[in-house]
Amino acid sequence: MAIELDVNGRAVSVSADPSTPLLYVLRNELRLNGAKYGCGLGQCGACTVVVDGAAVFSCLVPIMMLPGKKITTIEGLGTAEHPGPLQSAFIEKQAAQCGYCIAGMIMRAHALLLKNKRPSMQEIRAHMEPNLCRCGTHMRILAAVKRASELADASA
Amino acid sequence: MRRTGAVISILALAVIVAAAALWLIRAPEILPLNAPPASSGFAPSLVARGAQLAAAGACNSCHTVGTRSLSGGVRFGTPFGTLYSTNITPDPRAGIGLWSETAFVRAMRMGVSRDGNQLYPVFPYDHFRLLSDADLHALYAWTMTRAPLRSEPRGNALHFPFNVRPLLKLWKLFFLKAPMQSAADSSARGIYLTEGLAHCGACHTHRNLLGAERDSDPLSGGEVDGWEAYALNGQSVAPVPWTADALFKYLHDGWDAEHGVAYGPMAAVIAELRHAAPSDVREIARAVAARMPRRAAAAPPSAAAPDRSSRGAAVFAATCVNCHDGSRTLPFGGIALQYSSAVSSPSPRNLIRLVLHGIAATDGVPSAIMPGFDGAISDEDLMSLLQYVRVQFSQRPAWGDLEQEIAGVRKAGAGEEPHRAEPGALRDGD
Repeated sequence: MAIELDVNGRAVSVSADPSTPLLYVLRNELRLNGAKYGCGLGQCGACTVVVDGAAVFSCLVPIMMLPGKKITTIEGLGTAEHPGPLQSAFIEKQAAQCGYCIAGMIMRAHALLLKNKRPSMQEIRAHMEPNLCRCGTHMRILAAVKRASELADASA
Repeated sequence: MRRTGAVISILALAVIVAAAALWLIRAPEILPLNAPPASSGFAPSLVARGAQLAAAGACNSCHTVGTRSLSGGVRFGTPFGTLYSTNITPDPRAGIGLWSETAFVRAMRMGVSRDGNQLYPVFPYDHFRLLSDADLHALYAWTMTRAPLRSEPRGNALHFPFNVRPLLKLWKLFFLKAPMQSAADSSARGIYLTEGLAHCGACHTHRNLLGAERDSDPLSGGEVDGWEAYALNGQSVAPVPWTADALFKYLHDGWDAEHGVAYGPMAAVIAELRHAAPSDVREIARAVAARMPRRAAAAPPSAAAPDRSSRGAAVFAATCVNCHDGSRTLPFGGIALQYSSAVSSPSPRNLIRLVLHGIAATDGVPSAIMPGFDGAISDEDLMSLLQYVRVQFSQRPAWGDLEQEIAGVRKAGAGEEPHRAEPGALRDGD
């Protein structure tokens, strides 16, 4: 039985088993390869996407829970030609080294900025805490999130 | 003659009223020191002892936001309004740097500030009242040798009449406990720590309408920051009764294989307790375990035969089992749920909070984490999951009113972690 999902504003019908984690469906069926497989345990954040405005680990959430919910992946924030404010800020601050964690970092930051347009540095730190970066690019990532809040503000 | 008598009566009455008013308004001020006492004036061994005691009392868990140790600003939501903890660093202006030891001891035992103002019982002087002179002496030495920080916490926002401090004097008449007799032998040491310095009852005892702990039912469970603080007496819901050894491991490490991991406000307490004297933590564990049900010879709890037909079973199998199948040891794997107090408790509140908001890492110490599913799980799926888990992993009756409980937890949000910053409480680094 197919499951209907709303991914980046597009209605898609998915044939995978209902217990399949969202991440596998995004990557293997929908070819949305931004979200990454890191630990598969919800401990690293590389797979983070936004569901109904909240950051979730897509490696842990089975698609059976998601009909009727709005799923946003990094592909939904902009394109290489027209990056969104968060993507622009991450490029401007050169906040990626190997880049594996970045899609997850940006999506977790996106969830914060949806709720809090001008977060303080302390709020950004507290919010970003679940996502890990093994390269140690955290300071640039924090700066990029702060910058993105200014960019979004300026364009609003 | 009669007139003179009447005048005298009126005067006498006026004097009595004035005296009562004065008694109500404030205690005498204790004069400030000229300058904060020099750190060199305190023996290092005394300061070290004070540090261990401060950890047993978990001072930081209520007086520290982020890394600004002891500078206050932790928010306490109460039925009477919102309070913020004070700066207890030795800063002469923002903190208590000019407090003499006499003023410090009076605050700890009587709940009176150096300037004579009454202090709110969010500060657990009803417990600290039991502290010995020697312990207070060491705590003063430790406090006065901390780094002074000049930050003024936000002011309280209490509803009338609770914002009238002098009225606390009346509260104390009714609710401030008499000091206990001195504790010499070791079982008495555990009771002294539990009821005094460690102030377990401040969270684990129900409070009455005026915010005082119900003396008739000590440690029968309470509520703190929207979490249920489990009963630590005969009403404990732990599926495997606690022993002193298990409780020591839990209080020292933050988890025990047969009881689970610390979360919510207790995680912040554990972060402190690991710096307390292990012998004191052991005494606390022994004293608390002695109040709880004994371990029976019965077999350990087991899960019911899995029912795979329901929606809750499907959600559990697809989402929870990965970590909660009991194949990896705590704290890296999730607890096998037949051992979980959150599942066997009369209230589903903690389990709902855990599923929706997970367990955040505690700053600076090894701690368990759990991801939250707030964005992903619908109310209907959550309800099915809770019903399934309750039947599968406890022998207790079904929870009532799940819908309302779920709505309440969703509405309250993730809440503030005790160690987390509050907007404006910290200066931004930029």
